[in-house]
Amino acid sequence: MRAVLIGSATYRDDYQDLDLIADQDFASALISRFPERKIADRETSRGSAYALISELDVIVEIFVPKPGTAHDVALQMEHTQKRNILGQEVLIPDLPILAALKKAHLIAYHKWDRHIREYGKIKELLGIKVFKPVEYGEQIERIFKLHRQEIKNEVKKHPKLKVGKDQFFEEAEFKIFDHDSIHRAIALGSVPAYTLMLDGEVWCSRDKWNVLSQEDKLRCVIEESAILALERSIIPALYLNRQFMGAQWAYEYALSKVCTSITSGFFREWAIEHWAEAIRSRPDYVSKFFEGLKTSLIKVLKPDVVGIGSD
Amino acid sequence: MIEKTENQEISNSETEIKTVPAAEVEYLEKYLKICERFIGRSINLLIATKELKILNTQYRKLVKKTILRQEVMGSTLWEPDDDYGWVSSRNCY
Repeated sequence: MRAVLIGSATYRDDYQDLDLIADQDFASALISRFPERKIADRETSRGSAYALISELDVIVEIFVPKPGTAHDVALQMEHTQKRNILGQEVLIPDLPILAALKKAHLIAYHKWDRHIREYGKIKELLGIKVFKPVEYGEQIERIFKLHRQEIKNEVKKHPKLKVGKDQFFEEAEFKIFDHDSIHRAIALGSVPAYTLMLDGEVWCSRDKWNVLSQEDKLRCVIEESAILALERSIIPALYLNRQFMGAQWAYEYALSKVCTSITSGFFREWAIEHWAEAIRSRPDYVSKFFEGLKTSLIKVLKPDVVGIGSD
Repeated sequence: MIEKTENQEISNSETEIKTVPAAEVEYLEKYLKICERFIGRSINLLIATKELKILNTQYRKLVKKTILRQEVMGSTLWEPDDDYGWVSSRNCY
């Protein structure tokens, strides 16, 4: 029988639940102790998940991973620390294992707000600002890569980006203003940050990205989040009778999308690792948008929607 | 407050450039600020609605009727898994 405690209970006293990865024998033994308190079970592509409420009214989630999965690798690894939980001895993994698992699934939106904050907490405990799995050994990198691929298989595919930009955006109802001109209006520097990584037809040149300063990379993430917030929240609220939750909420939600489903590769990895800075550095992008309208820097594509030439 | 001018639509021979009337931009900016204060709970719905009425009175003759808003906004736009329209060219491999 073997179980490893993962999640915030490994490093917090104020944890909300207990997350265990375990073999089937351990899971069956624990469930048999609380048969009337089992609240759920489900099969997933990566293993079997069970949930029960313990005698202390703490929710215990037990995941029995399939062989060869990232959680299975983590379960089989050597762990030196142990703790007694619910009368059972469980193993406590080192922080890099937790960081690798957490980082791997941050591309999925599920409970994202909580997970990104916990990821920041783990990095803080490790005394680092950026977590690079490879720096913690082959096994940590293996867990990260395995779990990232597992999550990628489960989340939605990214939109195909080989189609022309115009074709891509043309039908969107919120395309009321020219996208590039909004970028110019909200730019934090003299030019929109994304133009610093353009290389001819290549939208994201890795070579150009690699030589950008940290400040310019942060500007790229901030401006990307701000324009998404404008196009998906502020502008529809103003012109399409849609509701919104305010500029802060729109920006933070857009940033979560940047970190999960709408960007990928090195841009997304950087955004995830610097999420806290991007949150703290939210600009007054709505005022910049209005200023862009006043100065005609922002081009109107749908005059009828904004009411030009009617009434 | 910006006065509404006659020449709010600017054209040139190459491309017709449409400009949102300055008074309308100003109105929407002020409207959004009321909504933000309501969302941030620095004012309640009653006060926000009262402020919106005052704003509408100020701008009634400066902006088109269709621009004037009758309600304070303050609820969610996105569904949790709604990815429609969420695109970015920052997919970097």
